[in-house]
Order: sequence, then structure tokens, then C-alpha cells
Amino acid sequence: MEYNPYKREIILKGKVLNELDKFVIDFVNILEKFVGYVIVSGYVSILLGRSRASEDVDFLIQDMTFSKFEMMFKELASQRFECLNTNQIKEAYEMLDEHAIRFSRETPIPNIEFKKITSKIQEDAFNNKLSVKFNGKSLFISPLELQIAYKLSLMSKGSFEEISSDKDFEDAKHLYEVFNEKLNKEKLLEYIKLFKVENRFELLKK
Amino acid sequence: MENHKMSQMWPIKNEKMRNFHERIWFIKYWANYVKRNSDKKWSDGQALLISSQIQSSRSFYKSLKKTEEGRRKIEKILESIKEQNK
Repeated sequence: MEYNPYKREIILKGKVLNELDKFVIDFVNILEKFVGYVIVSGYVSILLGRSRASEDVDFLIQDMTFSKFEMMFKELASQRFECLNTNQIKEAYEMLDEHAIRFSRETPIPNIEFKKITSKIQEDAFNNKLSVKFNGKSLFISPLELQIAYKLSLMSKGSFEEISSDKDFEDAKHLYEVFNEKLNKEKLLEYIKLFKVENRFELLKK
Repeated sequence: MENHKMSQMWPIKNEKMRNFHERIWFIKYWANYVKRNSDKKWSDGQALLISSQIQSSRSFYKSLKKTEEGRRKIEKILESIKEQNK
């Protein structure tokens, strides 16, 4: 795995595609014709080597017009992707203003969680996205520093019993261990403070 | 010393602490494996794990679809997925 922070690029050579990768690539092949996106959360760690599966893949997308959404929706449907929330295009489009919608193919798991960018931190993820290149394909993912801090913020806030098997902590730990030498420490601390996860970050560094 | 610091952060039981350390040990081990081996090698192992889970989930849904009760269960699962987004 080669990470070039200056080019904002990670190259995976000869990656063996798993079923989740294929599902995401098929979806992105359609999505990217219509709108800019960035992948966040669990699949970022999985794409970069984490040894676990996931029920869903989280996409943040730019605002899009109804006509573009309609074209995208129809093309997704032609490739057997269906919206789990509704089969009415207008209704699905309007839902995006309220919450995420989900797309799946054949079975509800795995599915794509499809959400409009609505906050400053999500804009940050989009504007500073990294390109992961493998098998002739590029996928855009959230910057690693933001991803680590965000994952720590998602950790259960309860007792150690809950935290001891927390997948979010483990996702953050995986990224930290794999990319530690090349992370922008200043940026990482900035996000750690922003999410107020200083204590969890101390635990992560151990 | 490390244990002492952690126990100050959260109330813990020894068994959970041991489990936590074992999991973290494996995360570090696997991250190191990913760094030291070719992308082809680590992703080959990873693909076995991920693809088998997804294929088993697909088979599960296909078998559920065959019965009326199974289809009702799928409806319930879909409802719960929709609820997650609200």
C-alpha cells in the first residue's frame, strides 16, 4: 500500500477484490456520472485492509438537482440497485433533505447509505478527500486524520464493557497503526480536539 | 501501569480488560501484516472473510424469501433499516 499525502493518493497493487468492493465499485460506476461523493466510516478502514465485513457503506454526496437524481435513480434501477426507503423517485429525493436513504442489490445487506453533505466537517471530508487507486479504479475516501477522529467520536460512551469490543475504536486503531508514519499529526490533533476525543486518542496511541 | 491508567478512565472487569487487550493486540498484528506484505497477499485473506460473510447473508435472504413467514421477516428487517435513518 503506497500512501502519498502530497498527491492525496493511496495505491493498492494487485488487490484481490472482495464482494463488498465489487458492490461499491458497481455503485460508484453509476454514481460518479452524476454527482461528486466521498466514502466515509467503516468501509474506509476495510478498503485499507481492516479484517472485517460491514452491513453498509456510507457515502456523502454533493447537492444535486432532481433531474440528475432522477437519471441516477433510473440507471441504478437498471443495474438492479433498489432504494430500500421507497421506489418513488420524487419521494426518495425529498427524503435526502431529512435523512439518508439506502440502496441495495438483491438483498438488504450490504447496502449503500446515501447522504447529502450538510455540515462543515462533511464538507471538509469532501474537499480534502483521498483517491484510492486499485485495479484500474479510483474511489474517493475521507482524509485519514478526519476518519480516525470521527471514528473515536462514534465509540460507545458507556462503560469499558461496551468499549472493549467497539468496532469504531478498532477501525480507528487500524488506520492509525497502518498509516502512523505518514499522518499529518497537526491535522489529526486538530480533529481530535474538534471532536473532543482527547482521552480516547490517548488510549488509541498505546 | 497501562492497566492502572485505563482503569481510571472506565470501570472495568478483568475479563473484559483481557478481551480488550487481546483484540487490540490482533488489530496491531494485522495492521503490521498489512504493512509488511503485498496488497495481493493481505487482500486475498481479507476477501475470503468478507466475501463469505456477504455470500452467507445473501443465501440467508434467498432462503427467507421462499416462505410467507420469511418474507414477513424481511419486511421487518427493511423497516428497521429505514428507521435507522430517521
